[in-house]
Amino acid sequence: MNHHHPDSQWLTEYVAGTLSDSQALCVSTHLSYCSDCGAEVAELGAVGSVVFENQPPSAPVDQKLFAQIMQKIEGREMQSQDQSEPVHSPLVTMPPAIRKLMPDGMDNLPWKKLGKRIRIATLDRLDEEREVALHKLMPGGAVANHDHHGQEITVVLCGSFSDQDGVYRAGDFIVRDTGDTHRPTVNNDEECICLSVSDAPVKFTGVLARLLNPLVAYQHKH
Amino acid sequence: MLLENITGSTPVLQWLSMDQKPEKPKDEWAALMLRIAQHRDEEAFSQIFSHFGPKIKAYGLSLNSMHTSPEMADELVQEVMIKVWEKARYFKPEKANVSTWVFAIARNCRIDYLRKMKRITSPLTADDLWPVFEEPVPEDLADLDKSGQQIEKIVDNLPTEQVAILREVYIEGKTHAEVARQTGLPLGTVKSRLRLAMEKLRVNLVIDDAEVPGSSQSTQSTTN
Ligand SMILES: [Zn+2]
Repeated sequence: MNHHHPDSQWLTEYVAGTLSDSQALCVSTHLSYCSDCGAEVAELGAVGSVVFENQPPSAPVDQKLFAQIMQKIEGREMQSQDQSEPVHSPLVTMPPAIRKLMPDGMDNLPWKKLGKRIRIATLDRLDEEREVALHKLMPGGAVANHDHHGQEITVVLCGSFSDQDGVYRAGDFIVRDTGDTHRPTVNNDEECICLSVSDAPVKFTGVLARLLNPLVAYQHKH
Repeated sequence: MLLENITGSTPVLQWLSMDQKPEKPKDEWAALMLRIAQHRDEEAFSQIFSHFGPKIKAYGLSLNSMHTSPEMADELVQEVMIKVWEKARYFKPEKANVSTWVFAIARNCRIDYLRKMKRITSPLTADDLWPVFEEPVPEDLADLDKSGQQIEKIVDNLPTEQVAILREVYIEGKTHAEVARQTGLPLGTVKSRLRLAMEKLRVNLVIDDAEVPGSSQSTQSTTN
């Protein structure tokens, strides 16, 4: 029952494996809520596999490789098998990839207060160009106008919020580009938690870095 | 019945020395996977290897990257085949066909390989972000094997420029933007060729499952 989905370019690039890790995190998070997109991804995967099957023949595979593979398999089977990971209770319903990004649980993340009704916790970066964070929006009125630069992808994890463009519920996938500003308001009395992936500010390295980085930080704040 | 068809087993060496890939109906590939999952059947595994090894290698060699090499392609074949063996129990024939499953594993291994080459350390692996080894949730996947076989026929009939773009996107690992840049086509054209290909696939699939309640009784809606 989601209303905001990744479009077919997002889904195709997801299935083809050409999205960056943090973008893929957003799509796979949406997929754990949305069976319609799940069905489309399955269909795209079937298309990909036909193209995969019909590739022009490559250089032959060295048959020695089979023996090597069997040897490795035997070697690995000697070791003990994978243990299951501990589950952090309030998060059982969250997608496993997100749980893995907060091994100490959501409450122990370094939440930062950003205005009256928004808390932000930055997670480990999955690629250089993008920042991964959780945003917690609190009930009780509009969240301070939050501006961003570059592209920002938001996936609602729980709760719901509205802005001038619509209502967003758990699983909804929203892409905003530079310059879009919005004033979200949390619906109901429950907090709304979102995954947010945004283009990271350009970082200068090298000789000029010390001079330029404070400027970038300044621009990013305003 | 399916199992009986293929258990008149061929010695491993004979399969390994075959130049021609053994062509099989999809159900037989699934039966081979079952033998691997349930009986750790090496002979079944070697048939899977003979067929998919060259596909995986070609997929590795096609990657549009400075890290592509014959060694990388061989490593990819090893990684993918080891996963096929170790994760065989996660293969559900009623949910997907074998080549869709192997394609997904190859994609994930190629992503992890590239991450390793670029020395990127990440708390997540491709299997976390592109889950392959889990119970698929939606019931919609039940028809997938059927649609997979139809898709194969339809893909064969697509215009060459659409097939070329499908290849660049799915096999060569180019983003839509990279395809546009390298072909000199506008991004809109890249997207519309992909969309046309997908629409053709979808239209054909819809016509074939015309047993939707409430849809007009068309002459095509005969069941087989
Ligand atoms: Zn969706």
